[in-house]
Amino acid sequence: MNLVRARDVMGLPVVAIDSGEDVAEIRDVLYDGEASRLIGFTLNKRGRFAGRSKAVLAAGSVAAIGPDAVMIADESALALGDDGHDVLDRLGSARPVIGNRVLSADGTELGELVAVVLSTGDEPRAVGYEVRAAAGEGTWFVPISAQRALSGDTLVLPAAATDYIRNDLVGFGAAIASYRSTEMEDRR
Amino acid sequence: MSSDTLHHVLGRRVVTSATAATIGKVKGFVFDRGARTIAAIHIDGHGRHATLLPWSAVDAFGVDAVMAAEPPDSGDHTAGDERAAPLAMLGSRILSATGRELGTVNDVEFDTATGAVVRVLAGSGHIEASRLRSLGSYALVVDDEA
Repeated sequence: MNLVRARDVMGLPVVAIDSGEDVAEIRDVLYDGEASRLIGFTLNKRGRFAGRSKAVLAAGSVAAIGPDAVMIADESALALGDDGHDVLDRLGSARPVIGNRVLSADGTELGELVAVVLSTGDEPRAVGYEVRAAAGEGTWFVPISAQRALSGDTLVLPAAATDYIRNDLVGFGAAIASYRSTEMEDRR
Repeated sequence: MSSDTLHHVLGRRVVTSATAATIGKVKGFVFDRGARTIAAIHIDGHGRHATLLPWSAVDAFGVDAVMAAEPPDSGDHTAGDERAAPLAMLGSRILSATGRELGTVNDVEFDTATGAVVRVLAGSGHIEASRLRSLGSYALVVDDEA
């Protein structure tokens, strides 16, 4: 699984596969912390008419997120006007996640949430959080599926989630897969 | 099939078959939306005022001259028809359909009988025509290697 920090997607051009044109660029990431779901992206216009675009790119309309561009099939992937506002309205009540304190279920402070991690294939999803360690020992990653509670200033993780913490994005991809299979077994 | 490359044919004389008049030189190319074939040869002028010879009007793409069946379509393309303006394939950024930059177009090998693109030459290697998706002002979009 290829992963990317949500903030590293900001500023990337949005390019239509059917035309080779850069139709927009990523302004911000729309993430619903409570539902731990990536909704999509707000956009800036490109070129001479730069500035905020009214269009919104829903996560389901993304063909791929690459290191150099976000790809869409064609310009119809951008939702304009009313559709776009619906997405933004839904997000209006969402709780922020960046800056939250991260606590484990046994009451240990693990650190501060500094980034949302996305998978980069078609239909990208939010898959993890990056946390800056409370003790100041760099950052590490935790699977988003481990989220137990989110209040807007605090995120609570089960104690077991710390077993799947990785301090690099590459190892984290494999760790998420492993965490998911464990969760499935627990439910049986 | 006989093929040539864009760089190699730039500057080649364009002559009408009927009158033997030299009408210009090969300045550039216009590709179809999918970047698979040459739609027209750019002979003179710029942007919307470019003089273009449609590939269908090419009698023969010779080693010394391009023989044209009719005088070229000169200038004043309608403003809405962006495709009428020559898009620079040479030097264009190459972007994979998964959003990764793969370098820039160094040259393009094409079939001189049909105008079909055979392969795109880039940095370290080449990209077969079957992988080409589109050519736009931002990039030449190509499929990832299978």
